[in-house]
Amino acid sequence: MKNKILQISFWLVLLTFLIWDWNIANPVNVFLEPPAITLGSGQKSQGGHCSQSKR
Amino acid sequence: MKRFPLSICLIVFFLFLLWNVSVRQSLLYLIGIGMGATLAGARFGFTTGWRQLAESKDPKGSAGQIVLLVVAASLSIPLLANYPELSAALGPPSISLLIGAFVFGISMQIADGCGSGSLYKAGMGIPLNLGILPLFAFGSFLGSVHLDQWLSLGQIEPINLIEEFGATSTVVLTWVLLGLTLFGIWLWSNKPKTLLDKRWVLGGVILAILATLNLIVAGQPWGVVYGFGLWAAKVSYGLGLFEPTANTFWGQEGNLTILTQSVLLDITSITNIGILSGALWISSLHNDSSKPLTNQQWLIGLLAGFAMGYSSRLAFGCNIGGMVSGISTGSVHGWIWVPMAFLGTLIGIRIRRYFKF
Repeated sequence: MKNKILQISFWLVLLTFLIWDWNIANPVNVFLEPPAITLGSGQKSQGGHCSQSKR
Repeated sequence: MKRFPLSICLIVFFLFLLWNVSVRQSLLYLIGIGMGATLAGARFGFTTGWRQLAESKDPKGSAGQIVLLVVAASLSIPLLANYPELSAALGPPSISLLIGAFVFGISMQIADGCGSGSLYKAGMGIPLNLGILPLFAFGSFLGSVHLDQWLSLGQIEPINLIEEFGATSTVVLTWVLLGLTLFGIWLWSNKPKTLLDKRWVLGGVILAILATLNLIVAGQPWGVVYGFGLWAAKVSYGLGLFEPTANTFWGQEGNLTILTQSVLLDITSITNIGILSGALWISSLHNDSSKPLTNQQWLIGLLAGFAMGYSSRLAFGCNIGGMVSGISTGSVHGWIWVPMAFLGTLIGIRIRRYFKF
């Protein structure tokens, strides 16, 4: 039972974080979305990665 | 939670991403679900595989990881050589990498889960891993804040084997090095007739295909740690506890932009959420069988989770970003990561035993 409560709390915290972040972050401009598939698009990804020391 | 309503929730989130964020992010969410389902379904634990090898001389888990690396490298390296829009996981060989990978190896054994392991086990509802994830995120953030100081201890530029030797030679070199590693595993183990086990091999092959799909769709290799650090950075920034422009890592233009965007636009964040969702879906028909921990075990486990987050940032990735993505995309830092993390594992197993985990 305790484990169930912990699990539900975890998902609630995550969901709260995502909703909070969605509201404070810059709005998503869907007309400027990245290519659906990067391969073949000619556009380099702008995402962060754990192996990078510089961006 | 029953599988049907859970499936509806996952589909609704997928459609939300598709409609409100981007097609790419919705595809990455599906890939993440596949990763989580495979990790949880096959119980593909990198930490467990290494522990079984070190403690019981059982090579099957480690051999399954070699299969993963062979398939992922064979698929990814030719793509990286032919499509310049794709990026490899290039970390700088450095003092930071040596220390980070070593400490990560220790802490992942104590916490019983590496980057992907902590994610899928949290998704499955295992209590310690649920508690570890927020500390992992905070550790990862703090590691990124201190990264430039660690790098000032000594580093060289990242070495990209594909640029040095070309795709064919890099694939062959990777096969040879992985073959030698497999031979080393066989020598260390109880020398069974076969090193391969169906569950580990199948899990390894599926994860390799999903990691390659991640590269194709996202344009960058699979990662875990960056997303966690970003979440903690966002919370610290949002609460006014952290000023990113005053920090070398987060003050860089690319990181500043990501920090102001929704995490739903971040590549590693969305695959992390997918892994949690996929593991939750798999676990929805199983009851939790984890044994209760003492207060001391909780404390040690949570501290190890924090250390794991911090050290994975210094090591330029956990077992996923450093080892799987590093080796399978031709980065030398992946080959430095593995022996250092294995040395740490040998110590971590003893600490784990001391605290009777």
